[in-house]
Amino acid sequence: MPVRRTISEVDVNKNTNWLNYPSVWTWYLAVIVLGWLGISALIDDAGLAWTYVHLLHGVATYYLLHWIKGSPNPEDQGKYQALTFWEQVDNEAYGTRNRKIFTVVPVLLFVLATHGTDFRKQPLGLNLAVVVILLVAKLPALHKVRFFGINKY
Amino acid sequence: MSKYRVVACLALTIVVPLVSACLVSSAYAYALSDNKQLLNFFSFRGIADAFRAFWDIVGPGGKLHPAYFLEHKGHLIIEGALILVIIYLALQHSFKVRHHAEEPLTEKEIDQLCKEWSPEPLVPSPAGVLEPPEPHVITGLEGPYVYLKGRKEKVINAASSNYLNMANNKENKTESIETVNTYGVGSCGPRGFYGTIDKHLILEKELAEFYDTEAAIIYSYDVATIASIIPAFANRKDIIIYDECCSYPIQTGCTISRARVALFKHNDMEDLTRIIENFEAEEKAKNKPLCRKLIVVEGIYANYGDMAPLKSIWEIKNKYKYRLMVDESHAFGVLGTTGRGACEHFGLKPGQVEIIAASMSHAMGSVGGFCVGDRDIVEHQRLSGSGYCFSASLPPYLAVAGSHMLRLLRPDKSGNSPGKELMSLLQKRVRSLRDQLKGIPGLKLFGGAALPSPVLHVHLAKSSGNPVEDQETLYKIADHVLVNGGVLVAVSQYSKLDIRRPPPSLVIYANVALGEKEILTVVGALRKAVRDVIKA
Repeated sequence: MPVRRTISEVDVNKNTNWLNYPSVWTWYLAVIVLGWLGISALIDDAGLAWTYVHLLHGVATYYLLHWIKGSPNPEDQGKYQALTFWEQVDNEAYGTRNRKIFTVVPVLLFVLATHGTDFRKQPLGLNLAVVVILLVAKLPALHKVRFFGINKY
Repeated sequence: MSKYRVVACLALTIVVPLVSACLVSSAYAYALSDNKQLLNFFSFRGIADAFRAFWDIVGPGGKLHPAYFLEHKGHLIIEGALILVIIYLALQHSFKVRHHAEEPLTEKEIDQLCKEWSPEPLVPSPAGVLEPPEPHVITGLEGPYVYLKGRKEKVINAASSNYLNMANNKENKTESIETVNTYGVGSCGPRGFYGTIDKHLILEKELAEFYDTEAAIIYSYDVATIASIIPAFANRKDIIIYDECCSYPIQTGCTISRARVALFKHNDMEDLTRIIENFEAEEKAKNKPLCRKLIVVEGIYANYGDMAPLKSIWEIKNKYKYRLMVDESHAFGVLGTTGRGACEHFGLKPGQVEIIAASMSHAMGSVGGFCVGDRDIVEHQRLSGSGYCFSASLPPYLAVAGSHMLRLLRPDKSGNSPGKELMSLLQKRVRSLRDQLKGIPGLKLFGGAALPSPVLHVHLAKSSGNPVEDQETLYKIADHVLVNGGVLVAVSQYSKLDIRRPPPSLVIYANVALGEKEILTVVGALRKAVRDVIKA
């Protein structure tokens, strides 16, 4: 089987290249775990806390990755003005490690949320809807696609 | 794949299994349960009742929650599917999305392209450019005269844009020397990092007062001034329209800003209007949100010596709600009743033009550039003006020289000032020079005699058609004028990156220190040189 060379380009986009720094993913997972600890301290049901973590994480990542566009760095002169964070990552290449981790985390949280507590106590449909929306938003087929002109400019 | 097909595929692959799973599980659970609440659901007693009943059955804790299906090993199917998804992701190679992939080229097209291709050299030789000869070395100054290396007698200097003779002003020199004794020569840093000296702040305040605007900012390199200001106020989404005869710094600034750029024909207001209307139509058709729109012109064009019709441009800009930026490098200290430049000359009040930028190395006798405008405009440049943030600041003695010139231009109670007299004297000299140069056979003065611009571009009356030859002729004329006439004139030089190369010309700068005698010498030397070089 011929070995396919991965795309190697220097990522100069200051908005996204911090994902390649060491320990970024550890930090990301730590934030999620700390969030779960905090919520489970507040509501006394550690399992249901995973549901809340999953939902909050879903809303937050949808807004940050798939809604906000552009880059806060004025020196790129608005080059990424029409691209969401997800579309800017790794010079718009798909199948990279960062993207895989971003895609797997909602799925993992969904499994934790559904397993964490009794199926009768949790809004299963809501959990499923959130994970499906997030997975769909990360599909390479939807790169730079905007439905019905929403969020185009 | 069009986005509607994508939506359809998603609908099929996700919604259908979901709905079918729900239906299957609910049917299964219903079959196993003995509760007939389902019948109530279809009785339509009221939407709220119906919804409550529905949620009782399907929601968490309800009887037909897919929970039953999931608790009885159904969850294993879901988890298995998710684990397969994760494994698939982990095994993916990275790839770039070929968005709306173009059809691959056919064999015929490939052959055609190969036939048409011809190799280009790695470094193309720029067309129509002659390597400039060795520059003259100035070894001494004396009023309007300079001493050159390799020449014993002094020559008249008509090649420096020293319009008000500030560079040779004695008081200026004394003040600058005192400043050097106090502060040293350099400022040792950019403005943001220990490079701001009180002389800079004084000069900025005086510039703002002089122009009657809220604030001013100083750059230490005049070419970088306008090339930093434009990218600070424009980016990819924006529109910049500039005159086709604008000089290299403006072109660079527009390129760096990455904005959509259009050029309008030199001083042609109909062309400008046409271009603006085109942009408006395009924006409207695509229903894009509002972007910044900028018009950039020069007060006196450095490459041609003529002026922009600022009053008409202002009316157009006002009508279409564009912003106007004027580069007053050669007009500052020359035009206008108080010396503010071309904007004042055409009757525009302070504040009507959003951004006025100028170089301090012409009439001001200093070095660098400045920009005046509203407080917001100026303060924005303190972080976004690349030439301001990332260059060492102006040496304080040059800032003092700038302040000195502004002091000369400041009107006293009666409205007069020594600077005003210098300016009217300059206009007299300009008029005299232009009148006499116009009459030289073989040369053509751009702009004619009535133009109040101190930048005189003199072209060959009869061009040979080849700009390289013309430039050689002009170099010969300049040499002849220097050697035989004792006058130093410049031949115009442009960067190889300039997108518009004006026709080769001799550049003569008017100067207050050039008296009538000197002007006669200059004109006589040119006349003789043209006669000898061209007729020969």
